[in-house]
Amino acid sequence: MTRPELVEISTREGARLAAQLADDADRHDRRLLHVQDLSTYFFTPGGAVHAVDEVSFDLDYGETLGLVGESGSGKTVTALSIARLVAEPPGRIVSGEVIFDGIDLLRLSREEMRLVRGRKIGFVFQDPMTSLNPTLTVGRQIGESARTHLGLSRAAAARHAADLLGTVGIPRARDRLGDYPHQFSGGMRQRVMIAIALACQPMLLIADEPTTALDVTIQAQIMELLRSLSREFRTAVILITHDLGLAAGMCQRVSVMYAGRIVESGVVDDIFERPRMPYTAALLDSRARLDIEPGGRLRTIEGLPPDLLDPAAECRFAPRCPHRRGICLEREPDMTPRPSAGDGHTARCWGTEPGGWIP
Amino acid sequence: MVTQSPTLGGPTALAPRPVISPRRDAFRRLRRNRLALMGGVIVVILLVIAVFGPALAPWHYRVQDLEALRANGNRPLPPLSPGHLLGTDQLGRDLFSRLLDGAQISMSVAIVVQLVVLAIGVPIGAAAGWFGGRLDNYLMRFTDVVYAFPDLLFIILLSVVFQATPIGEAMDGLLLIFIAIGLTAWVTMARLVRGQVLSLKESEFVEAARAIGVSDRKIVTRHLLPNAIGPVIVAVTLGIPSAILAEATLSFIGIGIQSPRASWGSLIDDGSRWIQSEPHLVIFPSLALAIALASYTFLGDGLRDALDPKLRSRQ
Repeated sequence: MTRPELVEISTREGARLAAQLADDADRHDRRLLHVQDLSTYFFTPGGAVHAVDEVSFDLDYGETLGLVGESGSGKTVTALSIARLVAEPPGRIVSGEVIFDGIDLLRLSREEMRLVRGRKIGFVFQDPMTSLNPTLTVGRQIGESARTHLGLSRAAAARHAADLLGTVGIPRARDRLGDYPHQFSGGMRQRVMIAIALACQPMLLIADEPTTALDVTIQAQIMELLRSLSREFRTAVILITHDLGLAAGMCQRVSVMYAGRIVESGVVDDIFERPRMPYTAALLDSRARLDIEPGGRLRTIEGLPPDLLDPAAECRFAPRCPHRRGICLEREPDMTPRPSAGDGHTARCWGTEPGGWIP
Repeated sequence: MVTQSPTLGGPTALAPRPVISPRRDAFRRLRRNRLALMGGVIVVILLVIAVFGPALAPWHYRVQDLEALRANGNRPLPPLSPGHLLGTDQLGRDLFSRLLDGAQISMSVAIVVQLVVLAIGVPIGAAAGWFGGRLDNYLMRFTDVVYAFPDLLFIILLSVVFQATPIGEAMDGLLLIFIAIGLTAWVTMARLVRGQVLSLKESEFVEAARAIGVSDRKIVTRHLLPNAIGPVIVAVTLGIPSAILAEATLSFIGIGIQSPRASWGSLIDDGSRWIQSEPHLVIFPSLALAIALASYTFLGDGLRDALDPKLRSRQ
């Protein structure tokens, strides 16, 4: 398959990006993405909602990271913050840094950031039924990114779009460029979304619950497509999902989010084998599994996530935690290493710290 | 469309499905609506008359048939007089020909005023909806002020102030009418477009476009406005009758089109003095006006039904 030569951004902003990249490259070696203490609040009449609170994580070039947590835990806002797509107002990134390929994205101007989006960071959204413009043909929507960032002509963009559509597994791609989104099924549309996200061969693909709106058989196909394409394009992926099993099948590492914070992070197998945070353990327990006896009920986690309007100083999971002790309600623990669970494994829990009471 | 080679009859030769664009789909629904179709046909006929009517008219609109007038004792000729299908006015001018000329005026008012409305209303509404915040507030309060000001009073004021100037005299006074009506009628368009933009800018495909780095300008022109086009088309079509009516009203009270040209409104005005003895001078222009207004309204209603996505499942 031929792809058009990728043209570097040739504007003044591009030159600045390059200069900044050279500056920062030495300090943050070998990391595609370094998120440090990222906080995004939503300012509502009732006060500031701490949707993302001092989140830190790293991502290597070509690596796949799962961001797992229940609804409202801040996964999506974290992803939107990285691409600076948080609606402002009411949202605002209040602190932190997002070093992407050596550039602090939070310090870029709006226009510079626009040139990064789509070019270096691709996005796949949850609902393919509403994420495509109903009045434009699929071919034009796929070509749009390449026309915006690579300066392709309309004809070249159409050829590029046909290639991409074939790459994501849509038969008779060339004939379908002129079709409108309503002529595609949900799974096909998600393929189209993936084609759009990959149009400029980004270094990072953020997939926000890419299969939640699809049925299970299509889900498997889409995940397989994401897996093979990220390998082929050498694209790093952040997979946002509430489904630990899905993350396990696709990701090398997983970070678990709860109430705006990352509470546990590590290699997939370690997390599954030896969760070092009761919330992760509870999530694993509440999965629908084949070995549940017929008629048995799914396990759930008692209680509700805390109000993020004014988070208390305690461990945020403490009110729902079966293992909690006095200290959990007094102070919130930090993310600290858990070498016993595996290399680079970290967790935020008093009970599993050295000398803790959770085995 | 490329014709398919008949030699390839194998299972691989799939017939390409016809592409049904959303617009084509709407057109199909419109065609099923008889009333709207009738309105549309009459609108097309009116537009043809507006373009070619004056050239086809048996008489020039200002020519007086003094001979016939004298023969009738200086009274307006009744309908079906020889050479004058709908009779003449008190000056011996052929009413049918003047109606055809009036069609040109009404139709140009219909179209030009809506262009003015689009040119003012769409940018203001789009800017208010897109940027929001303080700009939205300023633009919409300005819109409210224009909305609250009595339309007719504003138009009359404008007409009176500019009547003796080159603007007022341009195109027999038509230019001033275009501007005056357009300046009051854009308000609803601005509100409509603002509402559309407000709801569409939160839509996921706009967020998706943002996520691939499409510039704001292109998001508005390529993603927002095309999706707002349905209600805008409906508003334009339904705005036309009120523009025609506004022009007729102006001409009726004598500050619109300047004599000897006549619009339907001024024909009614002229005829009203003879309404007792020569009712045809009022009846025919009124009929023309009513037919035009009804046709545009039917067409507009039909377009609304065809373009409203909520009605789609009913078909």
